[in-house]
Amino acid sequence: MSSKDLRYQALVKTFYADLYRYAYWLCQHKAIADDLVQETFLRAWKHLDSLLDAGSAKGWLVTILRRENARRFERKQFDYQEIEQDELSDQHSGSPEQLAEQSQLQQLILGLDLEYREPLVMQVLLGMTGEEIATTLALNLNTVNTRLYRARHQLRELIKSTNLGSHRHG
Amino acid sequence: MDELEFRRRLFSDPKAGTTELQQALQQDEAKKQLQQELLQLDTQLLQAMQVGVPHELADRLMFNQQLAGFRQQKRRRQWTYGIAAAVALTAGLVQLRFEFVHFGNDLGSYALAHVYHEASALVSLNEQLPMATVNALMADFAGKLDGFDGQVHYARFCNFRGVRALHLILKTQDGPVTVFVLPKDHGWQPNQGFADDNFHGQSLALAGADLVLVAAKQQQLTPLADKLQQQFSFNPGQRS
Repeated sequence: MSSKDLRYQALVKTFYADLYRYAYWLCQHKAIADDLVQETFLRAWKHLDSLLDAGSAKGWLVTILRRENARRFERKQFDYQEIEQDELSDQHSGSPEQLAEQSQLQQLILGLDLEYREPLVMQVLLGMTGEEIATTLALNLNTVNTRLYRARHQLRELIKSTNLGSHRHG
Repeated sequence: MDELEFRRRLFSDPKAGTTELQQALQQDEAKKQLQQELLQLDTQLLQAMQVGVPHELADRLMFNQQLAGFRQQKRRRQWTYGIAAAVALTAGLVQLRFEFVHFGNDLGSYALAHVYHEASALVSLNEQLPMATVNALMADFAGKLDGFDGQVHYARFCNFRGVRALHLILKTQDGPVTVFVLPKDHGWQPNQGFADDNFHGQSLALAGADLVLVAAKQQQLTPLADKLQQQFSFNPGQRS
């Protein structure tokens, strides 16, 4: 097996799960997220030589995936309203109340505008810094911080209004 | 840092990396409480964001890469074949050029080279062809061989440097003789006699074709040449 193959496999093992989840929160559809991740890794494999620094791999893959997602819109005008949202499940077991609460929170995240949702997912799920998010989204840091602020602020307000997690905040 | 700016910074990054934010947190219990709530929210968000990943996705990603690798290899192989074909073509052209330079317009030298090239045909002389077969080929020249008392071991069209020629090997009492039957417009200068260390030969102009005879050095050619001159006949009207 070539060193390129080994690098690729390491890249897949490290990032495929988080990249799939990020893709899901980006496009809100599991099948599309699956396609996006496959396209992303195919492209990544073709251009693996251009990835010089392993530390920048995550941002590099996210950038490729965002580009693939944008191409999807170039190819076909997509109407989000027509996409039936999948039933979400998570990998954590918990009490029925916790699962219900989590499911409700997922719906709230999906309810956020993409411009708030995306940087939030990048920060919370992918662990990207404000600077990394700003670079990937081609925004300045202040704008990113403002969007992160609004994302959390909106979610907090929504949670309060639905009484979600009130036992923790009470 | 005023209250609004504090909230803006804390909400954009609840882990509060900056020292300025840390100082503000130290001084105010209510702010610490807010940070705890936001960190708790982030924990819940992280759990909620970890949606299930298709089990076989990693396998598919590995497979896709192997497929892409195979395709790339295939493209590279096709490319290699292309290069190999180009090299072979170039080599062929160089050889052709070499032949032209080497043999010039010398019919004898080329005939000898041809005999050497197909030397194996001279060795395996078990086959005996019916005269009808030979004459079927001779029809191409609107000619026929009639009354030849020896045997024909080999009869096949060959490329005599761009000219379609009939390559015959006749068995005589002395041994095998190679005869090339060339159409009249072959463009070679006739050569009455030529030889190298092993073979000798001569060309012979007939009515409808030219013959080039090549035999081992010790063999007599003139008697055969005289006979063939009689036995080959041509009728241009019959030319197919």
